[in-house]
Amino acid sequence: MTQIYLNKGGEIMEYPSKNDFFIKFKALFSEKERFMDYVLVETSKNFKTATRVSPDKLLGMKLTDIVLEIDEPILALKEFHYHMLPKTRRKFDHYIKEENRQYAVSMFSDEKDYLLMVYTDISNIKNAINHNDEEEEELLKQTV
Amino acid sequence: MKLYITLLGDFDIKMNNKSIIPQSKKSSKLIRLLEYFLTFKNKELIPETIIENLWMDSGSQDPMNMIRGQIFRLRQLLKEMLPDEETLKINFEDVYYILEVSEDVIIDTDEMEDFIRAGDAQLEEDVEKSILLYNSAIEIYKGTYLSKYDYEMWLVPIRSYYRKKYLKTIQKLVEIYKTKNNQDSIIELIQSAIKVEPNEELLRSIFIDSLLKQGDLQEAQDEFMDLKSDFEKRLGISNSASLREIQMKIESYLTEKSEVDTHIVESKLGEQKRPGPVKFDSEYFRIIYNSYKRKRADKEKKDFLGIVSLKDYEDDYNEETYIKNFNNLIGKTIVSSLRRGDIYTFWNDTQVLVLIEGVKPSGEATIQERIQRRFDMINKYPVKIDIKFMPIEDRDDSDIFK
Repeated sequence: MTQIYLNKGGEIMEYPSKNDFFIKFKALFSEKERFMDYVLVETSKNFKTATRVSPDKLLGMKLTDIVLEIDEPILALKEFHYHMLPKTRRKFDHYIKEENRQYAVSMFSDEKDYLLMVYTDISNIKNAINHNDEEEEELLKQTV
Repeated sequence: MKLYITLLGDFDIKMNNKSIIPQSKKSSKLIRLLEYFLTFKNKELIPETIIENLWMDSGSQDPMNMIRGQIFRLRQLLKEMLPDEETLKINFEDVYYILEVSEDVIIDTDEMEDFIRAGDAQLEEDVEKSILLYNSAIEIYKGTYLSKYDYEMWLVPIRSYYRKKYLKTIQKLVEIYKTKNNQDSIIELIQSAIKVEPNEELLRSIFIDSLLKQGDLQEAQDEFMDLKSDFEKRLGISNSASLREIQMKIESYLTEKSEVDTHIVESKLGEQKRPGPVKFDSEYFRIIYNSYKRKRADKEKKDFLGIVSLKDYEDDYNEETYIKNFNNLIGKTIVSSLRRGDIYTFWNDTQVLVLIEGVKPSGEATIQERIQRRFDMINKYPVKIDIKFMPIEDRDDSDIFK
């Protein structure tokens, strides 16, 4: 998987995507059709490489149990789970200090039964933006 | 001055032990918004999310304007309620709203988590201290998070989280009490927990288990009947995996405590009645075969060992499919052809061994014929079998009389 971005000048910039991954949950409903919890049903193939957590450990677990039992800074489900609801769509900026890694986390639940979370590593993009900002600032100083 | 906010159970804000929440109906919408902000305290919230969770069904033409108006009124209400504006302050930064909570505010959810964390940390060094800390955490949980609301989707994950946290802490305490063989404390703990979470099966199961360990069979049975009827009322079902598990615990207790006689031993060792032969793995089959060999000879009836083999297959047929079909067909054939009590095993990929006991003279030929006939009836593939029976005669009775 490769991500392509257009920078300000219109050029296409490519960044590594080995740390990007997704996880998919299935919603559990009561007989009254009330949402109860989620179960993790799928992870992308590179999940283990990106998070260093074996998917076998998590697949089939309820979200609430994952939140209580798995303290994993990249997934950070404890931070996200309050927002994980059927038919919602959210986007977060998630910085992991221990890894010095920045993620854009998108949450999709177009179908009420499923919720998909896509973790996109934007560390390089952020670094590039910061670097450009610093250069611009320096240029501005010199001009003034 | 400290402000104490309760979210677990009934919502309340107390100062000097007195509630400061206005009771008017007019403010209920604002209080709901405050509860939402408190749930996401110190977190940036975009207005769209607040609208989606709280006012999706409001039918307002301009929800963004509505939220601005509601937050304005909530700020006014907080000003009236609180002695200091900084205690709970709703700020607007860029595109976010954020509720900033000062250090003078104690929220029960945070307090509960702090006690649990401290209890976990002490577990290795000072168990007694852990017990105290866990109990303090448990006391804080007064019921479902914002229990006044029946069902609101945004509350589901939060409610599940704190309920699970509470139950896990109870389980930790129960485990500690078990190591101390302190059944009284378990019962006391679970009794008060059931008052808070009456529908939680886990608590009822632990409770019944403890009653049984204390020898209080009658109360355990009563509790089980209550649980069963609750189950029927709530879910309309009279049985479930957890109910069966509890019932088994009670039955097992009854059996252990009752006087052992041959009838009980038989019912404990025996299996449920089922038709047809029994399948064993090859090692058990070998043991049983040897025990047959050691049996006293019966003049009237004989035991037989049967070998059902797959015959060579045609060259143009795939070997793997051929063997798969044989195994599938022969399994079904054996189950429908042998008697209850006969045994069989898949010796290898192409051979099945059967043991038939107490066969009258030339009875083995009838069985052989039956197997062949039933096999042919269901066989739609080019699969052929060969069946042989031989009496088990080579008895070494000397072992028995040694």
